Amino acid sequence: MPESQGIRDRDELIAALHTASELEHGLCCLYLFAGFSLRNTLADFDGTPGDEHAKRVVMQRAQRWRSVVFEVARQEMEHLGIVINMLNALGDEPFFWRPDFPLPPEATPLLEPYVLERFGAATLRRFMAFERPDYFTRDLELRGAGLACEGGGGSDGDDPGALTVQQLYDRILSAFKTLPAAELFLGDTRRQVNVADLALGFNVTMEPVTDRASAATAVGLIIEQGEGIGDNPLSPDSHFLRFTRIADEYRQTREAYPDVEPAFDVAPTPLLAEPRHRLEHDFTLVTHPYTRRAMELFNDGYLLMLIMLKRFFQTFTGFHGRAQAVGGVEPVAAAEQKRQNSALLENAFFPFMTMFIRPLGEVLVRLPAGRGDGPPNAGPSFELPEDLGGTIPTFTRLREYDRSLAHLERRSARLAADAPERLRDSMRYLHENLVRMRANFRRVWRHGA
Amino acid sequence: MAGKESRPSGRLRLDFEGFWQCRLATDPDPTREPRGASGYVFAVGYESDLDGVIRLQCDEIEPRDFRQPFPPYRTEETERFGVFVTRVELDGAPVSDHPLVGAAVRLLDEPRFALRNQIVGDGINRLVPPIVPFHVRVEKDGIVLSRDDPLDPEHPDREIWQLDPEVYQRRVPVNYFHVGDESVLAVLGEEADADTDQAFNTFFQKRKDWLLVQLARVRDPVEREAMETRLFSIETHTAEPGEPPGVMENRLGLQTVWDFPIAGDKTRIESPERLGATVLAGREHSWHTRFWMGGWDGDLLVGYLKGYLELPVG
Repeated sequence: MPESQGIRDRDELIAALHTASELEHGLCCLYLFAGFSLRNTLADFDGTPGDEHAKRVVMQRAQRWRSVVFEVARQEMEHLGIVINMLNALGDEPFFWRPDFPLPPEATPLLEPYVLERFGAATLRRFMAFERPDYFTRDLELRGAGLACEGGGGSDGDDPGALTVQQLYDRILSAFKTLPAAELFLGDTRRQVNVADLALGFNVTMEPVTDRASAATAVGLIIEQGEGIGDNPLSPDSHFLRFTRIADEYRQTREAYPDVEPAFDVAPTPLLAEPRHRLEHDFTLVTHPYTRRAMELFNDGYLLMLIMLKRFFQTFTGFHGRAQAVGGVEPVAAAEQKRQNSALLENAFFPFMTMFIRPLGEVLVRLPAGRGDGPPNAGPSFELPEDLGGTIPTFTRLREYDRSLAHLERRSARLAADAPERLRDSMRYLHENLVRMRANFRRVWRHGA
Repeated sequence: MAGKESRPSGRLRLDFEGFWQCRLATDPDPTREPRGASGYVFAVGYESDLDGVIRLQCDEIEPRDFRQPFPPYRTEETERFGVFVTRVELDGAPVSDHPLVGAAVRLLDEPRFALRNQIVGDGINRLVPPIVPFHVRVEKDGIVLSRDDPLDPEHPDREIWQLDPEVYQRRVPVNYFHVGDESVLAVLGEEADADTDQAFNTFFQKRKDWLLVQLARVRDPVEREAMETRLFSIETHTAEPGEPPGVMENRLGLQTVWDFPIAGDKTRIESPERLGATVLAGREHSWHTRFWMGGWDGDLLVGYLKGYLELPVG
């Protein structure tokens, strides 16, 4: 969408929301990848230069960086959820597709390349650029500053057509404010997922969108958390300022302890298949057979999680058990739907993210990318099957979910058996949890929570 | 088959209470996260990795894993670390000179709160985990009473992830409170009638002040980072004054209640002649426990426990 162009109708608003969805989803993956790549325990520093004392100092700083990066990633998930609420408000479908990494600058709304990179100075700088308020240029200079001293005629460093996140949401908000109401709020308001329904905690919230005012609140939350806009001075908890503070501490740490590298040697954008977009030096085809199997498991689990999320937002009308609390008598179909919502919630929102995506992602950055057993290591590639044609499938039957979960369960058992000794316990634990998640999913789908 | 809970007329009741420690990763960290990142618990400084084990006695804890300032808050009975028998009753009558008064209470075999981020617990409630394994031991001066309770008595070797939650429903807490009266009393003592949100917020503000003082004193860079990380966690997970409580304040008021029979085959009774009655065990004679754990200080990783163990006697 060219910068000069505002949103003129409902279709363009939906397109802008799809862009926002891809953006938030993509940022979440990039942040998770960087967070996974940080060394976590003293054992993670085995065989690397530096004494134990220095490693313990760096390890603890890295621990705080991980904490912040993961929290920001969670808030990107929250933003994605709010965007889906906006699509639901319009009466459109939840949108969870995103193009595979790497993406060249021209394929992203921010005109920044999307590459999966380990944690480091360049990565942090890119994260700051993603989250910058729009009075900073892409080079993180104050927009317009310096022109007078240089005699004018200078550039503020921006490419024409580049959007900031803030600008994208400003346009979306403007459309919610100005398009005719008859084009906007056509969705079922019961499908709005809010924080009271989810009891999320963890500094994550969800805003329902049912009218112009709640749309403004939702957009306000997103840009306040991301760019810090809304507070004066900038909200200190904004993603932009948090990344800025981390970048500063990272630089000081590297100067004080130059021998101690906080991140694993992780290959940039490790992939299973040749990318559609080629960026020089920005991807790595993983060839190690075991690592490839583990990456395939990750990607299949990631896709299943997106299928669950899509269905959840597509059909949400409440959870099993809540209707009884108000003494209502529910039609059978409605009760069934709520049981399914509960099953999807319990597997998609909570344990699948914390007990599958993250632990397996953290295993992958400890596995070799190449045929030998040494670095560089791999990582989660978040690849989605090309043959899906840009749409996350819709599963409506228990059988479909169960088949996918059973497949993950069997493969995780084999991967646990074949795992290198140092990672065997982690893979076994992952398998155990998949067994339990599948059993829980079946039980809650049929009988409720 | 689960041991049938017997209620013979005679019973020996041991009341116990005290501080316990658990260095556990908290949701949304994966439960095997070794150092902490997304939750509010972090392993810091020279501490060992988080292991989630519930420890009721000081000698089970490595010195480097015991945080200061201890005790975290006032208590009515004791300020030393550990869970101890405070009172003994035989057939309903207190026995003040019973040899088990002051006995140490332990949970054996590396017990953990088994929830796995809601996978093995039922539903989305994060506060109702069973303790697995459960094997209680009371000991003093050569007297030992201990007994286990397998999750699935029919298949004691099965692990929790292999079991339907209905199998171990009895082991799940029977109740929990975000702000429980007894946990508030344990934390705040005579000030228990105060505005709890405000008092819990002040509790962690004082902890921050203490940590800042330490930070000014400590020279070892590793220790300094430990203080920084503890401050970071408190700042991230507590509320600004006047705001709704953060997760750490919330957990400080937590009170979770377990109440179940103990019916396993692993029973040990030493020096039975000194107990004042014949303690019964075996499949026909289950023991019983009810206790609460709460007052959880998510910075010190210490909480309070209070309850009783009831044994049938012949």
